Amino acid sequence: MTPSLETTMGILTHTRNDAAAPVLVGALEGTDAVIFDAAIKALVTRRNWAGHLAVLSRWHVLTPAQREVVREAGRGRMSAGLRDALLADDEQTFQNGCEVVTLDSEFDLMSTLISLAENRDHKHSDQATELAVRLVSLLNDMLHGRTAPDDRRDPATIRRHVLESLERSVLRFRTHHRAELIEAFVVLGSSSSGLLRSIIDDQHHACYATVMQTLSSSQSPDVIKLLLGFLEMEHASMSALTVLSRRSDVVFVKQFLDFAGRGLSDKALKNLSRIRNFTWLDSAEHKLSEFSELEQAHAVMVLSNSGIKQDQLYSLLEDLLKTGEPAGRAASCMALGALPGDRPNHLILAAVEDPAPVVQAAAIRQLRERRLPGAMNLLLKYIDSPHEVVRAAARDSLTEYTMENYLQQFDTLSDEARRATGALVRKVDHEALEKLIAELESQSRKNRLKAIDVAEAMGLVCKLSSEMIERLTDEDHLVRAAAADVLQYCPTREVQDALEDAASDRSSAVQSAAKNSLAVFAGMNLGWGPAYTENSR
Amino acid sequence: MTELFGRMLLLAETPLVEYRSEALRRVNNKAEFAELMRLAPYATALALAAIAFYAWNWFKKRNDFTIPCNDPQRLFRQLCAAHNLNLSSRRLLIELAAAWEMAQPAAVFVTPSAFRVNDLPEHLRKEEARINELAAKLF
Repeated sequence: MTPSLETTMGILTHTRNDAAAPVLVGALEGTDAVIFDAAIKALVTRRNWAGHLAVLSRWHVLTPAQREVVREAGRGRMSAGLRDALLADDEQTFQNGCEVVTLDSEFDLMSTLISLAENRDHKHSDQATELAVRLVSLLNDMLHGRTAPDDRRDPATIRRHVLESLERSVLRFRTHHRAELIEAFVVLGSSSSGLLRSIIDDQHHACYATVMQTLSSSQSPDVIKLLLGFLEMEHASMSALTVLSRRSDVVFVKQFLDFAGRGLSDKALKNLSRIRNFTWLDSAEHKLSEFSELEQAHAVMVLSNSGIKQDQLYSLLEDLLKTGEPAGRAASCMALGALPGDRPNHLILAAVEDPAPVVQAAAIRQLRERRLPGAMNLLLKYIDSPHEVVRAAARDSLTEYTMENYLQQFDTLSDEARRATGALVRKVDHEALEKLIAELESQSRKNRLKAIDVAEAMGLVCKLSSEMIERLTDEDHLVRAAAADVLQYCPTREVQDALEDAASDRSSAVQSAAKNSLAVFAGMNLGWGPAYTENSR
Repeated sequence: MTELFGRMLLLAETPLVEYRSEALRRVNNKAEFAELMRLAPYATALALAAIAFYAWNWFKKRNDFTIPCNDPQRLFRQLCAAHNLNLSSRRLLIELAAAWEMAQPAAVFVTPSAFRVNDLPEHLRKEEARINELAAKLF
């Protein structure tokens, strides 16, 4: 473009004289491509609806580059022109307007489209309805973060405005009967919408059937989300819960189970308990055992918290326990734990032998709570399971075998019981060693002496050798003597050196105990330096 | 500026009005009428000053292109001013616009085809050199 033409176009673009618009529109009729391009840009840049309409009416003949110029320069400025294009009688201009509205997601035009859609006599009514529904879908995409990076519009604000327009349309439903607009309202609405709740609660509302139909059949993730949102409400409408229980399409069931898997709030649990049946349970395409492993577990969570009949629940859980995946079987086992009766007892006892460790663990956790016969023996058996998850379950069921309890009862136990219980405490209480060390360092002489005995009974002397060697220098000679005595069970070089020092202790009792222990070492032929003998001294 | 000038005129006219009222009360008196006539040059000067002021104001407003309006003539003048076109060039452009029956004269600035001499009426063909010169200047 020459500088002179640039000057002309600059003035025609920026002058506040509206006479420039017809001049530019006239330039669109010319054959000069440079002037045409410049006129397009100038018209779009000017805030003049007639100029915008002139450009829009030629949209279909514009090149991609020219269209890009129109979109770039006209962003946010062309609403009035677009509105006129949508209301135009000319078919081409209307189509052009629809294309631009879709391309630029011009949500400002929603009320115009709704008005057009509601006017069934208008020749573009159906197309306007389609476009309105498409815009709602685009808005949903925006709300879910699927938006162009350079689009800085706030989807939440747009949603609020669009919802206002749709709500007004819902109130006019009796006059237009446009079910699509009601669906759009439901898609964009939320369970907290007062209007939506009032429709759902009122079977005689003009929109009730349409809303229920949408909630029952729409595969839109937003409608499903809306439906699931009713579960989280304080006093969810029974109509909404009924829809929720009757839907059996795969998309819904999967989202429902996923929703449950993310954790159910107290409100959701309360609402779930009001549902007496789920249609998908009776559906041939939804056998519990055919769900994925996680879905099975989530399904058990849903069913066990719902209000379905107990017999039906037993059967479902039993079936899943026999044919489900490990996570599903484990969830069933856990759910059975909350149910009374012999039937769950048998199922739980059978599950203890399940090949999957998670199922075994789930069953083991039920044993003592249900006071099943042979539970203790099973726990003692599975405390040595090769699977940590099973051992943990057994440990959790033997919570009384703690070091504190053992220390308390120690004096009352026979030697054999001390050893057997000590071995169990070592397996159950993972902090037994630390607790015993604390006891060895106790201020009380009595406690220190008992700790030395406990260490011996539990077979922990070698593990605590350094603490025992420390006790050889204890202020109390009885403690020193006891430590020297038990150290005979720990034949190491360090212990031998410590005992040799203790053999010259000021207390004869300590000396005697140390010498005895050294004599035991001497009989062991340990392979390092000479152990203590009476003669070597 | 305009307001200030208006105020000055009013101040200047105040003693004149007072004086004139006094004179009219004695209008039968010829001597006094002559005295009144003595003030005529001043009144004329003031009237001329007022006319000049209004003319200047009108001209200034006419060429103020920042005022929002819908005025094809003003747009034409704005474009001519931007291209530093003299009066004869402006006249020629108006004639061209009229020859092509354009809705408004400013349209010639975006219509290079309007400068094709062969399609023009006889009286404009004589201006071929100037028309070509203008076309070269504008496009």
